[in-house]
Amino acid sequence: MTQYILRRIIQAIPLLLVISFSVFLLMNLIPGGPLAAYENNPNITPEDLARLKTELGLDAPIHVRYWNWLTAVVRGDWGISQITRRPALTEIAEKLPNTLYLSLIAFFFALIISLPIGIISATRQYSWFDHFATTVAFIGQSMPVFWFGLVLIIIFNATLKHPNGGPFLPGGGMFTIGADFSLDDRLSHLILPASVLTFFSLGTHIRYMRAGMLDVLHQDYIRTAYAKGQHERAVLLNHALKNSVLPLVTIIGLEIPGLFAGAVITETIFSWPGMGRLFFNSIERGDYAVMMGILMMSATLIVAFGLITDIVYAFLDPRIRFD
Amino acid sequence: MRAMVWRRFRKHKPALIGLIVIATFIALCIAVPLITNYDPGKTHLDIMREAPTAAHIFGTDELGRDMFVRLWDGGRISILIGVATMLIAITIGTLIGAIAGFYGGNIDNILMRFTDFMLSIPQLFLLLIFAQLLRSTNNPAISGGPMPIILIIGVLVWPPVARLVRGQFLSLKAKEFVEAAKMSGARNFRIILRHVLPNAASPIIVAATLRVGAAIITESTLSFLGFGVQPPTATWGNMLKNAQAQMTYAPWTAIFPGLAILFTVLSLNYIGDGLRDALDPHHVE
Amino acid sequence: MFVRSRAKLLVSVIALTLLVLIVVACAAPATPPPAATSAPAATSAPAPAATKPPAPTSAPTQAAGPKRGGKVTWAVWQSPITLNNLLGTQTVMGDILSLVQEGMSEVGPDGARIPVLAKEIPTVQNGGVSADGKTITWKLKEGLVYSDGKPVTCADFQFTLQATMTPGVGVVSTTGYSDIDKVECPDPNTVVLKFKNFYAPYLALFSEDLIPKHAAGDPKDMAKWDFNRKPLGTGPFKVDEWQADSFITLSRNPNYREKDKPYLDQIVVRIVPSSEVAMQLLSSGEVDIMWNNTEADFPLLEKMAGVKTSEPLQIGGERLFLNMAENKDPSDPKKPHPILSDVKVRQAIEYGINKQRIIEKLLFGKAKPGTNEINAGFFQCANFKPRGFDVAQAKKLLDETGWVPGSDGIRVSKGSKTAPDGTRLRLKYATTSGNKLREDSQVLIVEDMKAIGVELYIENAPSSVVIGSWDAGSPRRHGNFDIIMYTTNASIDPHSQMMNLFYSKNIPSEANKGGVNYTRFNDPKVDELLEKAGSDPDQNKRRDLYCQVVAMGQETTNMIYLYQRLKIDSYRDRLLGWVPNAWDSPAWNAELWSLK
Repeated sequence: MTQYILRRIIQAIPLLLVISFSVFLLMNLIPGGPLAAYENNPNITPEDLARLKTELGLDAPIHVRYWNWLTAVVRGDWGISQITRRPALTEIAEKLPNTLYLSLIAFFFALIISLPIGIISATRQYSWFDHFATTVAFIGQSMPVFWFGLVLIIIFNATLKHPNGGPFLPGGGMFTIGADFSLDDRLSHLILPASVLTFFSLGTHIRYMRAGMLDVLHQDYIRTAYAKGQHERAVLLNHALKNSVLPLVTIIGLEIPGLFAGAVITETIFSWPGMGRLFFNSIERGDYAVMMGILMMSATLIVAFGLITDIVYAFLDPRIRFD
Repeated sequence: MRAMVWRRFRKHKPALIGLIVIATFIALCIAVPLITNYDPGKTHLDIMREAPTAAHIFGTDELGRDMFVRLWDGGRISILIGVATMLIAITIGTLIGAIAGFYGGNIDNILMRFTDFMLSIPQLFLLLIFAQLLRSTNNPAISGGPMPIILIIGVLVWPPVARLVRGQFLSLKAKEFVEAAKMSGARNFRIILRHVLPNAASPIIVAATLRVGAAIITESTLSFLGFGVQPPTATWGNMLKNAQAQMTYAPWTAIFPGLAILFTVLSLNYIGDGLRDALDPHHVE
Repeated sequence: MFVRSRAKLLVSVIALTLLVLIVVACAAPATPPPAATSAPAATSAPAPAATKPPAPTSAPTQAAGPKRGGKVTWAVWQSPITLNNLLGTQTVMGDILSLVQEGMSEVGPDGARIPVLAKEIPTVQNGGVSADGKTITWKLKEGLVYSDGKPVTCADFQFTLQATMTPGVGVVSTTGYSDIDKVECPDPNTVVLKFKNFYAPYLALFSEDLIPKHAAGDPKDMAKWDFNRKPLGTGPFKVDEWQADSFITLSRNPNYREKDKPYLDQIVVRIVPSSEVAMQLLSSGEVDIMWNNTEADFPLLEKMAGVKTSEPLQIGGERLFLNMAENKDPSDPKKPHPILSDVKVRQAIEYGINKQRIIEKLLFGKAKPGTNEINAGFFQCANFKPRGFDVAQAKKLLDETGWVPGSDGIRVSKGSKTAPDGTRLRLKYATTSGNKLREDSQVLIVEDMKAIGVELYIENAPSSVVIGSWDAGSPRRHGNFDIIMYTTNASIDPHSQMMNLFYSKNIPSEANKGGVNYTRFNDPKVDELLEKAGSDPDQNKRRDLYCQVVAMGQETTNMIYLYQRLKIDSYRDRLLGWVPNAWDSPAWNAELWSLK
């Protein structure tokens, strides 16, 4: 087991190296870069641009810049943003908690809603409940998020009024700026973006749960349990639920790394200062250091969670063996 | 076998409705631009942003273009993007998954590391980078119209398909009929094509159905971020993006493309679900 | 029995889930949410200066004087990357900084310079400008202090120059400052700029940014300055807190030099990345000001109750760049364009474009047809006659110069001097993708051109490509384009803009990658006029020279000015004291803002 984990970790290192070099290369292939913003400014002379190129270290050949980046990262230095001139790590550390706060809550709700719905849908396949639940879940997945988010803001912010005369719900941000901390205020800001994210991921979750449960319910030992005359509740609780943990593990393993990267559209619509915005801005502005930081952390998480999922699977499902 | 699948599929009422909706939409996309007198791109500045009337049943947009005609004209591109990206992704994914699963060993290892590699980079990054790369080439064949979007989505979303197919092949290649075919001296390519692939088809078909819808959503997301199909080519995604600013005073410009996406993707999801159940060997009634 | 127990399980699972949801959902509206922004400052009326009665003399027109106190929320959709003027060029940064920092002078709504920290604007006549224009003497107002109470002295200007010219720290622009030899300080209130070379827009230097030495740090560590995140200045407000991509809070500068001003206690800048959402927030009253609207917002703005718009006309504007040299990659500027090198074709295109239709249909009648580079401000050319919309004239010019209608209505050359017979009059028309207004106006211009027999085909690209660098393969630099459309505008002093667009030495090429004369305008006479205008300290003489260039530009028609855009911002009518100013930040006079 330990040997297996070690081997996987060692395997991951070249993968991450290849990823880092490839994305570094890709980033530099696209036109633009940190100086693009100055190209159309009549007050910035060609001399200024040439000087900036040198001062921001953009004139070295790409392999040299990659090597500099890599050796710095090994020492724990993720570089300075060529846009904001702050350490890339500072930029990321500032946004990460905001993103985790929003996406973990949405993830949590998606899980606790999809768990019972998935189980019921599976045990009552093709019932009205099954159809209703899947429809609701699918709708969330079938709408462009920006459209849905804007509709929510038009309804709950611009149209509906709160009894106090203001908008019914705030139209973005994490809290009322300048006000003292209050739970109500936090929740009222959270409710729209969290609903959008939850609604969006519900479909996937329900589908996984339903499929996983169906799979389990068709297993021989469940049929045996029924045949032995056990109550359905007992069968569900004793066998099925326990086994539905497997699809749950899959979902968590697949989605947690994605939570880190944030949800760019939801964050844009609801003015949420999170990782998704930071990542998108860094791509648009050619902010190489921040982009690389996010990409590498994200890739590392994906690799790590892939490994964790496999290990958890092995513990839960005795049929799986390591070779 | 086929009849049985159809019988089961028919039982899945929402899937059946979904199929009817999709068929209707495709028929409209083909027929409307053909039979109408309106040029979907022609502007009529005297009737800008008119609410739905008998003459323009879905209203007109900010340049006086008929929304009904434009919707189905844009639908052609949106559905084309969905189907074309699906074909690209399924072809690449099946090829890589099949080879990896069938041959195993080092080939499997290399292909799967490549798949891991693709899966480890956030898709948004790759989509945006490749969208910019393709659009900045000076070759109109790949920089204009829906082509860049089709290429980038198609080429980037195959890894889950590859994993799926590989899994199927791994479990199938140990089966007796494959062993028998090998014994009889059939060539590997023939075995893959004639014996293994048909048996692995069900999950691939389901995945393919879902991919079409996902690509339509992805296109709208890219449009929102400014990287979608460029006007004047209409797609549901860029129509919706353009309608954002006028959502409150010309809601029809946003509602119809939005509903078109919603119903299309919803229907495809249901069809996928229906197919899954109909093709599922464990299916119990 | 069996069914029932199962149902119970289901019900309990669902109920539990719903309960959690409901609790969360209800907790939100149970108490008044964003009280601070939506409920006007009822409590903040007795402001800090309760002991001092407001001075009605200094207040504008209203007899009672503007109300003191209150908070205003300003939504911006661009996220500032820094608040150090030397390290960025974003519009949003400049607009926010105008609340905090001030310079020697600013430009008022009429385009005239108003002294801010200076007592008066130096001129040759008042002795502030030496005869050769290389010595500029500024006199500071008495008793100026920063918001922390420390005095403003000439040494701070010396420091600002030193910081700007520090090599290696990535200062974005040194234009103009690099022409200064040194800043001399005969006394703390006198700032003497000694130039190495004459710099025509000398009044623009030190007009926005003054970096207090005590609040900054070693210029070599500029990237690490706290000042970048929390600038300090003499302006009416000071920065309290900045959370990146989220908000910036500013509060009243208690040491502001004008008594009782500013009237507001607080300004909150909220970063709302989606402008569509920002519009909704303006409509609901969650924000008071929306920054940088586009013309497309007009229909919605007009429907919003209690919202006003500020829409001064801007200089310059949206235009077509016509490539007069060959459209190869890279282009040899000496070789002519097969179609567009013919001046009559270029003029015909301008005659054929119905600018008024674009303005009425796409800009809601809220702009003016484009005329020339300097169509507002001090340097505006008085006797300029713009070319009108005249289809007959357009057709006549094309006929005359050897382009005759073909079978499908599109013209082909027959006797054209520039193109072999049989060439189709077909041109590529590019702009930056993702800009709705541009894309819509392209559709109309393509229609207009079709009517005179010119075929334009649209091929847009992201702005990073269209307006990128030589190394990024930008078509406008390489010259492999026919027509490119975008907006650029001169500063109040058009010096750099005119040099960029008309000076032949600025034609981009492999040897001159940074060149910005994209139409390949090449006229030795114009070069001479521009050089003269750039070396004369007399502003009136300079204006005459520029206007000669503008007239020659119109004759050549290397650019077609489509429309002169508005600078649009919108605000709720509870905010008083707003004065539109196309030359400066919407918050340029924020010290006079107050609440109803």
